[in-house]
Amino acid sequence: MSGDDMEESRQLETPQGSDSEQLPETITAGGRTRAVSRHAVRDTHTDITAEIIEFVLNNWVIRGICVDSQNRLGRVHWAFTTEHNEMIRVVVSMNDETIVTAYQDRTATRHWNAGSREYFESRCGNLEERDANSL
Amino acid sequence: MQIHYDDEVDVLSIRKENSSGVFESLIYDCGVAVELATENGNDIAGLLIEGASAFLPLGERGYDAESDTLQLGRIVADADLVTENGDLTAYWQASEIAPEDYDAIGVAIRNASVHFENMVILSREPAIH
Repeated sequence: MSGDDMEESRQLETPQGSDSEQLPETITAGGRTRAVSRHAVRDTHTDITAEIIEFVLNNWVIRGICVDSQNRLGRVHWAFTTEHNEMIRVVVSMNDETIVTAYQDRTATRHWNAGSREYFESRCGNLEERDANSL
Repeated sequence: MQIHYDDEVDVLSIRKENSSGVFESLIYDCGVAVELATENGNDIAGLLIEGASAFLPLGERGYDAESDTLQLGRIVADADLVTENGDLTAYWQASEIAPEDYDAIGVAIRNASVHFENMVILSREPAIH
């Protein structure tokens, strides 16, 4: 992806935050409804809304598979949002049924803006990348 | 500090109330990810630990009972930037990929036994919900 393309990816219009204080217990994106973990409902900052998570799951620019300390697999999605000007990281369980965590990932932002994939490669396998312009 | 542990997804959140939702990566090791919650740029306002059960108790990761300080990551005298936010001190080094920015390398939490209330996560397995 070229620098111009990366700049373009920032320009995707992203939904604005809602007044909701907590995430709902389920979120539907791409026609699939997933449960939201207790942690994500309770601890996710209010600027990460259900709409933002939907956006990331539908418009990710890089994603990969991670293994947690209990050998459980999850899929990590990152997308840029215009609202935050940061990459948002959303982790979904490997069975695609639960949204585990969602937050603004400044380290990812720094690496993405520099064109570095080191951070993503260190955390995930089977990385997939796509051009934001094609979304 | 607000402390929550979700055993279904094995995530521990330790954060000041109303801190921002921007995170910096501090540690990643064998599926354990320690992320620092930030506010006002480089001030630290808490921790998020994914794969927490393999990382607890925190006391075994760098707790000094004499000073009642929990240290995670690298606490170095020659850090490029040191920021203090109440009892939380963060240590940063200039980023190799973005020299105008900083990577978090360590955090020290003073009065740890106060912030971690009954010391559960400092000394034993996670049992808080």
